[in-house]
Amino acid sequence: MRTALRTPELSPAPPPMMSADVVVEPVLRPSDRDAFLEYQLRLYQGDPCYVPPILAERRDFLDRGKNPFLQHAELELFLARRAGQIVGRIAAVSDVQYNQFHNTEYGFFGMFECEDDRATAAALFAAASAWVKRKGMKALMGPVNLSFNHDCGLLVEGFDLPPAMMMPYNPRYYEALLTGNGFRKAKDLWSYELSTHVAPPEKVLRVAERVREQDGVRVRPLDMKNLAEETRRIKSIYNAMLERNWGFVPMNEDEFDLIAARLRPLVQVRPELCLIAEVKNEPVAFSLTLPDSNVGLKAANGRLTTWGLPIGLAKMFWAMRGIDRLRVLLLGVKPGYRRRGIDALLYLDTMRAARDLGYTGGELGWTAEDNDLINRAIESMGARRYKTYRLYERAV
Amino acid sequence: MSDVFDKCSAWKDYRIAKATGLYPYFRPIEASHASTEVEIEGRRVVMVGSNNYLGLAGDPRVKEAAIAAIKRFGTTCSGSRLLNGTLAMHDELEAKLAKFLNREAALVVSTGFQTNTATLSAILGRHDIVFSDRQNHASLVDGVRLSFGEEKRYRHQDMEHLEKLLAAADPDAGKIIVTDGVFSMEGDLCNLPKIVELAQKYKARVMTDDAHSMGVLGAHGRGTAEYFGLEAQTDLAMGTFSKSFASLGGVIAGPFEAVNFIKHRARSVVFSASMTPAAVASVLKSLEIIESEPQRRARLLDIAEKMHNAFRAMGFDTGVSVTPVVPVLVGDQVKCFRFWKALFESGIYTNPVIPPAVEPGHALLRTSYQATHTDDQLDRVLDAFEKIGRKMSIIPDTRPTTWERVKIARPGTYVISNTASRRWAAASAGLLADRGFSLEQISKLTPKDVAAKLFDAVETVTWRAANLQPDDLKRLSSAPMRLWDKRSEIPGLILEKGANLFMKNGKAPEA
Repeated sequence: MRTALRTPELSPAPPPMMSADVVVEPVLRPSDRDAFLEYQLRLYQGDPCYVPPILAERRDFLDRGKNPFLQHAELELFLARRAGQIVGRIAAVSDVQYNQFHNTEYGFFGMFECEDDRATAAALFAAASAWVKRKGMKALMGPVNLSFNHDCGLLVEGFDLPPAMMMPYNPRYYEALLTGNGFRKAKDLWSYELSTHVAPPEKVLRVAERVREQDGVRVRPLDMKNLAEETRRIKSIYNAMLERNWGFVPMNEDEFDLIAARLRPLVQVRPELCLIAEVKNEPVAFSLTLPDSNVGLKAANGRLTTWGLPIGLAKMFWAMRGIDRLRVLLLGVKPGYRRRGIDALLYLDTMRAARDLGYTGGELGWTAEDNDLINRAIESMGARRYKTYRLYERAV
Repeated sequence: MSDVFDKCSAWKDYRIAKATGLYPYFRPIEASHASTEVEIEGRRVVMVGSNNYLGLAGDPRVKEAAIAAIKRFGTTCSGSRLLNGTLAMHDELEAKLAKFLNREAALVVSTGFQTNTATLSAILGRHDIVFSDRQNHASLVDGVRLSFGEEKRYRHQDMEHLEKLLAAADPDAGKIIVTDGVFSMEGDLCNLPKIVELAQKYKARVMTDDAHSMGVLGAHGRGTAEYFGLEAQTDLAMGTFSKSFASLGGVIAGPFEAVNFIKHRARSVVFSASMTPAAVASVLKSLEIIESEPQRRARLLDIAEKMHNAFRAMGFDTGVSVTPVVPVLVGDQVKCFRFWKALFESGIYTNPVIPPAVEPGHALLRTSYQATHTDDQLDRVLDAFEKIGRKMSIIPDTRPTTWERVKIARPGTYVISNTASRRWAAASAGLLADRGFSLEQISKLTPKDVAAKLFDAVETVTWRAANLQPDDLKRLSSAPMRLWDKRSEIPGLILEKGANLFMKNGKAPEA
């Protein structure tokens, strides 16, 4: 039941500790937008874990005409400068669909990058707060880059390993920048590490095989000859299955198509890892497991071409040959088929396929910390929680 | 050694515009048909570029009055108002205007431009401070320049900025806030309620330039102050006769002492020949019609609403305007010239507005309407705009599914402006000026920069190519067809890009 508006009861932001020499301005020119995107490359220079995005992709991502998300959400980018030098950036998002779906009044911030200076961060948060307040929001949540359907959360545990594909990564000091500016935890998101060499517990195997036989569940890989048809099938399960999860916002057709288009090349590399479970020919669950393309992205270092030659692209393909890790991006079961062990069955089959293909392991996630059903299932497979991403909020 | 004429020979914009056939200015009108249609270069076009808002310039009664005045007094007064140039008609007009505008006194001056220079140069003393909107008309800017007063310019419509400036100013100095009532290029109104509030708080006088609102706004057509119901709180009201009053000249109205002071001390009044008898008589007759035929104002605002909404429905951006000034955003100035030319060739006369009248990157076609335009004429204008706008990719090929209806400044609505689109707001603030390159900029680029630009382009193309979807491939295969459909645009586009290399959005090379 959605009755009264769930207004978060949060303590107001502390008096901003502004430093006089930092100027925060909205991004209005294309040249500023490029500077906004390129800032992170400079910030993370020398960080062995950092995976730079393809800048051309990021440019399209911020382009209203090319990113369907921005057609229903409003976005403002801010840059912080000290003496002309960029020292921080933040994006403020007003997503009407999220607030309608969850009956909340949250504005979001994301794409947050900042030097290690609390006052600079305070100025950035103040700009984002003021902007979402003008949009009528009561609280600011983030980092969400730029919605829960993209990557989100601030890495607070597990800095030793590079991020899996489509997961955020940030310096350690960001946590202090947020908590020092009056943000408090809204939710933790967990990621698990699962090795293919760990034998699944006997009990899980038994449950899974029983489901396969008793319920007549058929697990099959994606049919690559009929990809358009398969995409439609997955879309129908996707919007039905995640509905009650924390942070979930249904994607519209265009958003789904864009993400599907981006992931398609990876699916095509290993279609054996993307499984659909059917009961009497009706798709009831699917799991999407992809080779962790971050290895390739890291090799490309932000560009597909250098001096006009497709060097980054070549490096990327070369690096992709050696990928031995996976990310289980999505696994979901339609309501009505849950608590039967279909998820365990999908995990098992994915693991088997992965081991046969020579993958050593991978990341499962994210899952919300209070999603006990899925967390227990993952843990029962012998997976180890290895990264925590945190979402923060504060009143505006 | 430099010659004062050096800048004249170095100025390329005119030659480029002329050589490319895009030069749109100083077009001689050869005949007028009731002022809603005119003949230029033997072509009969619908005139939507005139400020003859109430359509009185072609009114037989006004023409008759002007002819009668010439018969009585001749063609000119041959002298200044101060000496031999005052006719009984001048005094009669001033008395009637003072009564019409609810003011103690009024002074008529030979042109609207001079009215502003006269007023400001006379009343601003050495220790006075004038606060003016950055988009104020050139005549107000020049008036301030001619005076000894100190000028503080506030960002267009930015009342917080105005307050900041007022608060920072010397409390003992004489202060006046000067603003256009209707901003002539963008068509929005000044925020008079707030200006008056601030003026009272900081003890400043208020002057409005009602050139585009006198005869148009307010229940009786007395302009912005009447529209907002703030006539008693605005000290000086200025108007011109070349718009709704179907003549030439201007009026400044206010307290007797102030007006009398301007009358005797303003050099543009004392040392300038007075309004001609024909001009005075036309104003007198127009005033009579303005007072007796309010339906003209209603019709004008109806037309404004129709045109704004129709343009918006097609996907054009008419910005913040709430008045019969309907600007259509184009952006690039050469494109604006091309759009103007194509419209002219299909029988529509508009005004291309380029920098410095607007910010670089904010070039627009300014259309304005007359109460006497027929619906048929207006539909012809709309058809031409849609057809050519699509061809030139100023609007999308299909109409947008949603658009915001315009708010019009009808009496009693108190609207100030419409919400600006992001693009409009950025362009209006001059933020879209640095798109593309001028030859100047290119000559400054190092080979390294050129290479970087080139490689960035390759990068983008590679990224796009890597992400082509089956549907995109289908679209790509139809690209040659679409190109063929728009083939007539190609020379124009090349011209546009080429011309921009030499004159980027009106930024003069020496500036």
